[in-house]
Amino acid sequence: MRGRNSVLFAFLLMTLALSLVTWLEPWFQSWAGSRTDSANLLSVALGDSRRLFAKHFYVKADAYFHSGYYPSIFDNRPDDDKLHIAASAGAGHEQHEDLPDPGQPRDWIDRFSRHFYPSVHTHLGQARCCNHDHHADGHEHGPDCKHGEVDHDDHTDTAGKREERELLPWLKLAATLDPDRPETYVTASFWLRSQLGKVAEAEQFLREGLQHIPGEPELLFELGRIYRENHKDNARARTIWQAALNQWRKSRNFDTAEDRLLYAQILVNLAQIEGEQKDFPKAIEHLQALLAVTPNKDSIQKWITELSQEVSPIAPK
Amino acid sequence: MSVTKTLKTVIDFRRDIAPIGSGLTGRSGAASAWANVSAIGGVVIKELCRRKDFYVLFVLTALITLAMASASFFNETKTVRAVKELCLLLVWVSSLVIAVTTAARQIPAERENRTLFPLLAKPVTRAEVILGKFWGCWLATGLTLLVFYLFFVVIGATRDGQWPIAASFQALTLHWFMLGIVIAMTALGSLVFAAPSSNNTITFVLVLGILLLGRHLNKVALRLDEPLQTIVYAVYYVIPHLELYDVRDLLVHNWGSIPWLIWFAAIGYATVYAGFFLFGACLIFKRKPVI
Repeated sequence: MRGRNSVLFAFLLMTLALSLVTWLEPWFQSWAGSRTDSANLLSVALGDSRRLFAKHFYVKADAYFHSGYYPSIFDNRPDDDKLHIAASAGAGHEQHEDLPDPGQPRDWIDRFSRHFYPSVHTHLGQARCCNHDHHADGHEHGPDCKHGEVDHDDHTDTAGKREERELLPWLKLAATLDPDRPETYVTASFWLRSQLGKVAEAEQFLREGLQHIPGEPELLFELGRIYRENHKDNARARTIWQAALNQWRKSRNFDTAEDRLLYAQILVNLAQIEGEQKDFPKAIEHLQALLAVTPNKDSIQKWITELSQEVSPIAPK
Repeated sequence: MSVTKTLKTVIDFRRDIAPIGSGLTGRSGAASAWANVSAIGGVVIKELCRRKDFYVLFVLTALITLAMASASFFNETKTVRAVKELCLLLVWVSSLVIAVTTAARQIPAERENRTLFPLLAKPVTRAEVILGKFWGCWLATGLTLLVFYLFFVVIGATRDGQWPIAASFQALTLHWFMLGIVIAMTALGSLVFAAPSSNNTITFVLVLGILLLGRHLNKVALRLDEPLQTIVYAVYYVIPHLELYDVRDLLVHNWGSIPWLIWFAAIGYATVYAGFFLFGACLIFKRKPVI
């Protein structure tokens, strides 16, 4: 009798479970939070937290660019959000605030501990003459150092060793974890084509990025640079930059400095290429659009004047 | 003077190391004590060989590192630093797990199995038991580190063709002495805390806390108001700075070796802290009822 009750109870539970499934399954399929739509294992396993990991790996690439020297959250960091590797890639190195030097040690433990981690600011591809604090009192150069104080940072000894390749795994991981971040593609593409001579890989990576973020003006601009600077295909570069400009006008505005800079870069490059192709009215049109955002209005105006003279070389004085 | 006298009455190492009734003093007493310590240490090493912790962790480390090494990013096959970093991270995690879990179970296991009584009746003093357990755990972790670092150097050399022997030796020895502090700390914890699990957890939290924050406590302190500033700065000076021994970044980014005098000072710093924790463990074990 007792056994029969158990069987009946089990049967009841099974029926209940089946009923619940028929109710829950349609709800789950239409639930916005369901991750079953994604075929990406990382996306299913990590959810939105993968963006945090992607950011971490992207910063890791910047730390590698500085050979492990990187300020922690407890140290002073530049206010600029753009990382050094990204600034070198796109925004122009001279406009980016580099990582601060560690400064004087605060106490004897601080002084002692600087021997055990990279505490000297260098960049990949630069030789290091010593492995201790350049800013400490009584600093002396290492025995291998052949540089004076003045040109100490202008090392070219390790140039050509292609150490920049060490950034690639982290950039690739960052892009895999967060494929919607255009900066990762642009940075990786810059280092691939400019320092490592991997133009095909750079172009392929940008195209991967464009599949994830179609029409992204940053990616289109970088792709145009590949066609102009590496493939020497000005016609295609002009088409791509024109597409980048159209996309920028559709999706961006002048609110942020980064967007203004991208707009200016696209216009300058388009004006240059149109000038070379002798399409001066088009070049002037781009430069006049640029006048609205550029802080260097005088030089742009001068450029416009020069191009205007090209349009009408025998204009009356 | 009074402090010295008090300490001498609490623990007299000459008497404690050479057991009462052994009739041994001076050099022969020390030799006998060393024989006891190394015998107990030998048992710990054999135990580590029998257990599968090391083998599992080593195979995992090797597999993950080799998988990473076989990956090619943008058709670039010579990237090495990410592989080295991953390998060293796994070595650090594995070595900490082995050191803490091995050290934490030594005394509680002896007590639970009731093998502590015959051990102390050998005659072996309580200080020798503690020192023997520490010596065994430390030596065992040293052997595991040797295997791990050998693997690391070989993997690095096959990728970039460099053999950073001096830097790797320094990293290995610094790592080993850091584990010495951790093992001594865990041995002390195994006499203070009720169960090995709680000891494991507390030691891991402390060690990870020091590794992550130890270097930055002074900066945090300077941003605080008094008296919190003084308290945090005092903590900064008192804690054993385990993060000093983490020279992974130097090794990964080919910064070369540390000046040998600095290396030697770091070894001395670790010895002092390990000695301090061991002394504390001996004091507590001497006063603690065995049952």
